[in-house]
Amino acid sequence: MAYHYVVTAQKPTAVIACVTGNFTSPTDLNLLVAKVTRLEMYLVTPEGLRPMKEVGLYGRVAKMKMFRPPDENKDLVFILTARYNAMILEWKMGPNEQLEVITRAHGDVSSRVGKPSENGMLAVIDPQARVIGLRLYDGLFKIIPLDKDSTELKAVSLRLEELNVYDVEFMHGCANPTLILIHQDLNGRHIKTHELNVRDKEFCKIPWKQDNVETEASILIPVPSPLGGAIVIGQESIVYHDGQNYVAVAPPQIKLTPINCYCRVDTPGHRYLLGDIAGRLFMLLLELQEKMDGTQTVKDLKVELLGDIPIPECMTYLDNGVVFIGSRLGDSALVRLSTTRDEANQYVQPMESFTSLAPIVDMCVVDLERQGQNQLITCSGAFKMGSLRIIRNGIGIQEQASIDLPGIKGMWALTLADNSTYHDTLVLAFVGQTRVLALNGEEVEETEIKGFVSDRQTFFTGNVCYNQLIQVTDEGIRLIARGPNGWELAAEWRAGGSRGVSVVACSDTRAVCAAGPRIYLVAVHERALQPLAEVCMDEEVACLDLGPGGESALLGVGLWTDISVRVLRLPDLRPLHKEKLSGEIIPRSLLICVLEGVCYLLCALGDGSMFYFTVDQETGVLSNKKKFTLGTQPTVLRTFRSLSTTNIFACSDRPTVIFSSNHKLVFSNVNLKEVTHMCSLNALAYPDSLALATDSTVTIGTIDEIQKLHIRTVPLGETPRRIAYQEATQTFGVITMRVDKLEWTAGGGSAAVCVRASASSAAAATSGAPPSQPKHAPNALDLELHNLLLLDHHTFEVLHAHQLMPNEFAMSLVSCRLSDDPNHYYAVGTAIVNPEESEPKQGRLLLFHWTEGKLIQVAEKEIKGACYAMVEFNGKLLASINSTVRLFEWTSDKELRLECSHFNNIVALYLKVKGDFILVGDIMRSMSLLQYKQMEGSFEEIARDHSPNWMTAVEILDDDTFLGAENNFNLFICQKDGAATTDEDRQQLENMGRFHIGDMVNVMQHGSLVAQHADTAAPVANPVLVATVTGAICLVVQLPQELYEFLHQLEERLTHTIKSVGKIPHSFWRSLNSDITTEAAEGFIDGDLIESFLDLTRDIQKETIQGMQIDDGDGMKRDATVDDLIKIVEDLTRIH
Amino acid sequence: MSVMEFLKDLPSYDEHNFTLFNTDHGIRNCSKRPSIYLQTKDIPSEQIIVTEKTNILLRYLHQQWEKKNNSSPKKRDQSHIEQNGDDSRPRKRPCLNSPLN
Repeated sequence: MAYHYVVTAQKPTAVIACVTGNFTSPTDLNLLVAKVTRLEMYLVTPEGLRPMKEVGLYGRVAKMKMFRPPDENKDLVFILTARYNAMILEWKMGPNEQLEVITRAHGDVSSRVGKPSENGMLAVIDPQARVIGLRLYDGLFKIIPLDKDSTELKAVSLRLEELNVYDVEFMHGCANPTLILIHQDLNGRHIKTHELNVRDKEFCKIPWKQDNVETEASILIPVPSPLGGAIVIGQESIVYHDGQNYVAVAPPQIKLTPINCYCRVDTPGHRYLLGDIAGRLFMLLLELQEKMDGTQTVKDLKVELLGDIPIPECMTYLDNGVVFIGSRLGDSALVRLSTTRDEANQYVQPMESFTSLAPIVDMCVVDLERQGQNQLITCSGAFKMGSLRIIRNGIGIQEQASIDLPGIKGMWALTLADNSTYHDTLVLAFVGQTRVLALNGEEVEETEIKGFVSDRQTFFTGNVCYNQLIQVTDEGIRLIARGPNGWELAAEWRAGGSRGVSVVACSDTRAVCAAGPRIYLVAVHERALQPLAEVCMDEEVACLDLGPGGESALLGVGLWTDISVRVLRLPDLRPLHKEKLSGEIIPRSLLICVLEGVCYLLCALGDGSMFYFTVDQETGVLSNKKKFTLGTQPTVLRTFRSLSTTNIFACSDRPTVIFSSNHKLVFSNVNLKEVTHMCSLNALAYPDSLALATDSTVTIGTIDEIQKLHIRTVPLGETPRRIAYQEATQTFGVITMRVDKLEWTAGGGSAAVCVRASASSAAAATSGAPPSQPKHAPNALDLELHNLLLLDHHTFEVLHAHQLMPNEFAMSLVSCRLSDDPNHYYAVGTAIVNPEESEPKQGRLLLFHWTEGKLIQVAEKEIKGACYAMVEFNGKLLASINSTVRLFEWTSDKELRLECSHFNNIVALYLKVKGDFILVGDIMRSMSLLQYKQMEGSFEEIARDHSPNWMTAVEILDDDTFLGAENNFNLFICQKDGAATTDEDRQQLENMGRFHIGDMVNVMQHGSLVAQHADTAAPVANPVLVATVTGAICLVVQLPQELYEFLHQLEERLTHTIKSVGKIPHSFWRSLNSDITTEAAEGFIDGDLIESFLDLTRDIQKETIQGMQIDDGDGMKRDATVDDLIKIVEDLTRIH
Repeated sequence: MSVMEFLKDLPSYDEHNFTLFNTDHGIRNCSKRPSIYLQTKDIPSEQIIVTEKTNILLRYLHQQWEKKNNSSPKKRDQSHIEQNGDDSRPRKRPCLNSPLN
């Protein structure tokens, strides 16, 4: 059997739809963005967009429309999913001030019969919210009358005589709901209106129509009352029509590229924004004239180009000239329209970008920094938004400055200047001495502070109340204040007894020191220190920290010998709680802090492990004890602030940033080898920075945004298609496609002209064919040019661009070492595309060698078709060429020679290899397994899946298990049964698992994003990263049977605990669905659902797992506790 | 007509919105993610969307039949049919094997 776990590491980022309205309250202005299966609600504020809530749906959003019922003061949202689930959602504040999403109505709107429309689903809502209209199947129009008094909303199909409908809208200002649509017949495209009788559920009349609008007319914009009518957007023209009045314009600006989306700017509907597929923004203005009777009519249509935006999928006007642009082909953006042009002559100014990986076309997994941690490099985006994305699990530090200073034992930043909010001084502690560094701009110089002792090791220093400084050494506390002659010692406190102070914690007004087992509390006053309390602990104090709460704060103390953590309460140091830590390793660093409103106590031990608890701030009781291994050396915990949130830095041999996300602690490693001490630094020249000490240096650096997956963008400006990594030459090979414009020259010929500077046209060196006009399409306006780019693996600078022939498409790329040739080559597989042929009949295999900064073509082999995939296989080159799989050997004369072939596919699109086995993914015949017979030099097909799956990606999980993805957004597992008794059974790849991943998988690759040394206690095997068209990255791993069965129980329970927004059952969502069949999911655990267990409150967690049994380790079953489950699930969250 | 006229008096819902948006440090990258909503309370839907199961041809024929009978004086038959029509249920039992939400 097959047991797998699928989890999303990066949620889909492509924006499908966006709307602006008053959703969360009658006065809130909100932006709602649909990213495939997720809905994100934002609030428009003076500071920009503020994220409010994200909701996951059990379906892919196909259409999202907002409307306001006549009796409501807020907007509602109608959503239609790709699997015909309809829902009406409302956002509202719940009783506990938490935003809730209410499913006002839901249901299935599919029909048992009907041909799904080829140009997609269309959904429209009457402007007066009387009826919803859906065009789902050809020849049918479904209406859902919005009757608020009935418990059922009856959807009725009406016959629509127009079969080929391109767009449909409800018109404004009509007594009865009236549709307007663009349809096509043999004579061309026409617009037509239909008046709807909602009561009798029929179309009653056709108020007006207009035959033969432009042949490419595809968008209708209904114009609000009192104007009414509609605007028809075509490829070259824009038409306004309201039955009587007809105004048409053909603005030259829009001619080049089709317009694909619009949004209305003002409520009366005089202005609209139009976006085209090249990412240009236009404004359409209706110029009005007054008629004799005082009413206004449209006199003219004006179009103006405003500037460049991301290639839009949808857009929506927010407020004060700010527009949200949603994209499927790259980052979405917030832009501002302004009447003044910027340097680039644009009336559009970008304000904020929303990272999107979509579409991920290819990727490779590499360990660039050689720290045992993989990075994922994806080919993302398309056209001008094409880019490489470097995705790393963990947080990066960008070094700004560094100073060589060995032996640092502690580090603090101070503000010495009066009335300054910036740090200007760095204090460093060494054994037996303390040094002070002044930060003057970017310069650092050593200085002294009067009143500071410099011949002792400082344990703590900082700014405290009344503009004073505090310094704590083994002698005691020194308070330094500003006197008439600058800084001076104002007060001093010394610990009594023979023992010196060894640990200290300090707040603005209180200092707590420990000397041996004694703890002293000292108040900081103006120029005075006042001892407040003193207690003696059972053992010596190893570490301590003051929590928030001022004069009655909590104090956490870690003790030697009995290895315990105590919680005391100020001001009398009253003991509140005692917690024994297991083991014999002493605590070394302790921290109490509040993250996202939850108070935590963290205690790091000498072996690099750490316990953490939640603290009840009233009683001081520690609960939810958890352990995490940070490193192997003693760890120092420090807090720091980044972008106004508090985070924790764990200094150790594996530096880690600990932060809170969604009320859970997340551990994210940092791209540094070792950090011994750190402090926050916010200096004028180094704002929002960190100072980090290693054994030998102090580094000042800025930290990435605190998030788990970190994404860096390398913009290419053209479409990346394939990527390969070559470690030997420290380069990446990238195949890109660029579209050049053909311009006619005086001589009657034409020349290709770059539309913009992009990676291939701006490369340091170039080679290959000069761009020329392809023979097959003499009248084409565009020319597609394919390039092989070589990029430096650190800087991602384009070292070289090799251009292929015109009409030659690069299809595949691999880095390989062939035969006993010591060189590493890039192999490129191409196709010569001739539009008159149904499939390419010709292509080439090209071998390139990158050496001494030069790209040399070492071999070329003509092939009879398109080379869709290539892999290195036993020192040879395996390629799939049209329907064949062929093996080429590398001869001693440096030629590719065909060794053997296999013919049993329609189009062999994907190849994966393991040992002598080859997994082939076919365009429509699922997967098959070949074996290479080395002795005979031939292929044998040993097994095949006979189901008709249209494949989009394949991967070999282990010797017998194969993972496939197909174009209905499903994953499935096939297994080979070598032990079967009959030949027939052995030749069958048996379908052992299925799961609706709900996304088009483009690429699968072995590997994982977490560091190999991380202590992932979860017993998972063979991780495979899966990347999709919508920019999602998922992880598929194999599970042992017991864990699978256990998680399956939890999954089943969670489907009852977590109520689906939109009321789509989880089992429906995850069931394999295709045009011909729907089968329940099997063999896969939905990791996203499992991980949401951690987001539940403890009571609900308890309720959910009631009665679940767990193996206690020696085969006995006992009831599982919430903590057992949290541990299991948290371990699973750490695999990605 | 200048672009100024296109872009003048852009609509404003709240004039303060986006006024404090700071683009001094270049284009901002939105990294803050909204917190995730998990519904654990069972809130029943007020309304359920159901698809009328009647075949559209049958419904058309019924409608035609009603229209014809409305215009003819046979009142008894008409009331009989109207009752049927109100039930919106054809004489044959509808096929209910598709999921009824």
